[in-house]
Amino acid sequence: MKHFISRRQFLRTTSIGVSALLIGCDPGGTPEILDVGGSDVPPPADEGPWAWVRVSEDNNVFIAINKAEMGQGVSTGLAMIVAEELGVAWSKVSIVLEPERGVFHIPTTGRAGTAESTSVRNQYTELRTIGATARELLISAAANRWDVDPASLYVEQGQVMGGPDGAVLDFGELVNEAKSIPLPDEVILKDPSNFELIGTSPPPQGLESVVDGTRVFGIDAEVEGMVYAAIRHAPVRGGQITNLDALSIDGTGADALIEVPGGIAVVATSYWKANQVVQSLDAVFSAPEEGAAFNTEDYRAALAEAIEGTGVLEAYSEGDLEEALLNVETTVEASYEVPFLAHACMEPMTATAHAQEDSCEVWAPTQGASQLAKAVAVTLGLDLENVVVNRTFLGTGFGRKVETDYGVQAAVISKAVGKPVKLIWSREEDIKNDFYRPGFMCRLTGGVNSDGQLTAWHAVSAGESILNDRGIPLPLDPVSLDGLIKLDGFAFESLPYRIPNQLVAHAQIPSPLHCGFWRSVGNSQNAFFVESFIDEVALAADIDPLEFRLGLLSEAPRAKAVVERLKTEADWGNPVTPGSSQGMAFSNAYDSYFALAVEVTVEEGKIRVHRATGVVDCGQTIHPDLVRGQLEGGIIFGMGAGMLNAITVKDGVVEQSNFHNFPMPLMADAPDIAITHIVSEEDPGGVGELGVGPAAPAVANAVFVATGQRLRSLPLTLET
Amino acid sequence: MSTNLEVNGEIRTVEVEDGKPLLWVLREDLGLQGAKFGCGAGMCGACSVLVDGDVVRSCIYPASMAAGKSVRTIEGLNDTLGVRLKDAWVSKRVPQCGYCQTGQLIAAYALIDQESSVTKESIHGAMTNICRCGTYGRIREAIMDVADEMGGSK
Repeated sequence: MKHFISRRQFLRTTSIGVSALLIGCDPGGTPEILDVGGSDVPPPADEGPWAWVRVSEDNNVFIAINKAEMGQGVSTGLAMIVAEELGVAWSKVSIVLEPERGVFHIPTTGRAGTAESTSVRNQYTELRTIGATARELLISAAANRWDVDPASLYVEQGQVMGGPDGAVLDFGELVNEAKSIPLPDEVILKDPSNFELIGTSPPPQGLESVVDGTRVFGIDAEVEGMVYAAIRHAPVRGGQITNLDALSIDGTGADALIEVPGGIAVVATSYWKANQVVQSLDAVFSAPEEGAAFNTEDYRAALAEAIEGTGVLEAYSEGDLEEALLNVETTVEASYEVPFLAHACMEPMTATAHAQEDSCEVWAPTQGASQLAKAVAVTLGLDLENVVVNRTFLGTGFGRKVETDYGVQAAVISKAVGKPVKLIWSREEDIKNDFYRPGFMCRLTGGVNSDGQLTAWHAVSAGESILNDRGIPLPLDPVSLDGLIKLDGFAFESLPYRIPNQLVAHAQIPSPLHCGFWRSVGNSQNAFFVESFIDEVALAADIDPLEFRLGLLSEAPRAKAVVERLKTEADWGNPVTPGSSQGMAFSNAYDSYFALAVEVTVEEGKIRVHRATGVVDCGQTIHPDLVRGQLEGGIIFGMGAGMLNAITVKDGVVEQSNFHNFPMPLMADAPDIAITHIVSEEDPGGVGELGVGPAAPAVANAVFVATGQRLRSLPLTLET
Repeated sequence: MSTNLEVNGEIRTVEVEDGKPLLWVLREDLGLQGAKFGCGAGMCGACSVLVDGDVVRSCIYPASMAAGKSVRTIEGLNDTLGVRLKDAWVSKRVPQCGYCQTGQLIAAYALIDQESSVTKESIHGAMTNICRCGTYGRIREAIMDVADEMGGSK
């Protein structure tokens, strides 16, 4: 039962027994449309369903998307949810990326950005309600026109049907009248068994604009009179330029040199020119003492000490660990480590801004449009309602683009030069000035009794909190602990296994690096720790790792079904690739369940992943093919990071800079991937990050089978 | 200096600053934004274009070197092979974010155009563009489909 309180309208949805709020509204900003399907798009209403749904007179339907499209398919998925209830043919639907404004803040996610795989699962009922409300208003308009009982009418493919003598009316003929009808007190949502669109895989929105090169990413935003800026950050975070007055751009062809938050920027009529000049300047930056003293080698030593020590906070306990450990037959202990990681978005950080005396307009690939608007307003001393953030498509985001640094810099530079400015970071600036996935270590102790049951579980983890770095200091960062312990109702996920005696402790070890949300967040480290260790324990107890997991999932039927299904889909025990070894991992995250098996060979010291088989239960699936795509991509993302990447820091300076020393998997590294869906009518779960966590441990587990080497650190590195 | 470039079959005259890479001339001076900036070091392939039929990574290819040669970008990839590839990318639902895909299409075009028989191995040899979304499997399938279709008509 969910209740959401509205300041304005309140709608009750009856068919599924929940009360849902329509839309909280605080209009602001000038609506502007970017990259939509046609030029005949009617203007949006300020509030209510007609802010989200627009119908043109020629019967095309435009649906506003309130989340960032960065490749996860959210523009298609969210539009499908609205379109399903509205009752319109998918071929008539286009999406609209509107500027950030209050009407698009849904109570269940509030002003939250696009993150944590929440776009569908936290907005599902609300978006259906919006579509259903528009549908009911169109039906009422037709009923008025025909002077009949609205209950006798229904919609089909963008028309209201059931009029006198079989009369029908297009939505486009009714929409103006519908807008003048007061909102109903309640709407009835469709019975899921009558879904026509949800659960099918229609063509995703806008692929044509990708392949013909016309999709507008952040880097493609064009504003009249625009100039370009390039940035150079202080090598050590928090450092500042110390010799700005001594620097000259005379004779370089560049137009301006400006101090900006984090470093200096040069403005020119070409990005290339601006970057050449800013990188060539003889700039000297200060370095904060703590930052300049930071080395990842020392930090690793601090983590290693922390997981052995007692200076840790208890995060979760259940049963009696000490007692349980006295009564087990097999005890296993192992320590694991993951490094700091950069996001390396395909599209580097970029934003275009036009700051004027009392206002600022920004065009940015952002996962956090409202946060960016706020940050720009604060930095430039503007009223929030005078800052407009226009959404562009994102050349990936992975959590990096929830940050506001690059957008604020663009605004500051624009203000300084009095012109619209497009700021582009070089790849080097991008890798060296990220909000990194923190490095973590974890020591795990497990005990198996004589019946082969895991009855004791002791985990001690250590690392930096990603919340601490953004002014939310907590003794225990639940995000860091995701997937390691039971945190139901608080975290995005929880340890799926039933273990009667548990003690989980954590030490937050600060680092001067910026740390942030990295695709799959806490699960990115904890799935590696937990899923590697579960395998170790199973093998020590001489139990097949897949069967061992099934035994731990006896009280979790959906989880168990996913692992059961993997057994057959992956040909568990009989790898298809000649000479290969299998490994598996499981994850319960973002309200979804995912089991993954890989087939691996190790030849001449090189780990190769040939085949990956996944089984997913993500509840009610909106678009199965997009789910498959997210899992395929998530597996490659997790595999690549787990096999190739680490960020290291020496004397406060990040040592990696571009793809030669922060490499990415290429096509030759990509396994054949098959994903099987378990059909479900449970509430939708998230899938954008689901494939990432299990990838590295599945490979590590297979490498152990292949070589006998248990690799407990990422990136996976074979002993020679 | 003033330079004549043949881009997508048209002669365009632009002022090219010494050393300015072709990518930025295309994007900033000619308004062709299909080629993307990814690394600035010729490593990721997002900026790929064709120069006299060969793939170049335009972020490190001086525009002045393209004078007298024929440049093709994604915007001009509209012959039979180009259209089939774009159609296959759509029907296989290859793109996720789409940022790298114009470069992937250029690389795939050159591969099929230049190879007499396309195999998984030749795809792996030719397709070294980075995709952070991990669409590699679908790209591979789309290339194989188009190579099969084009087999007789090349």
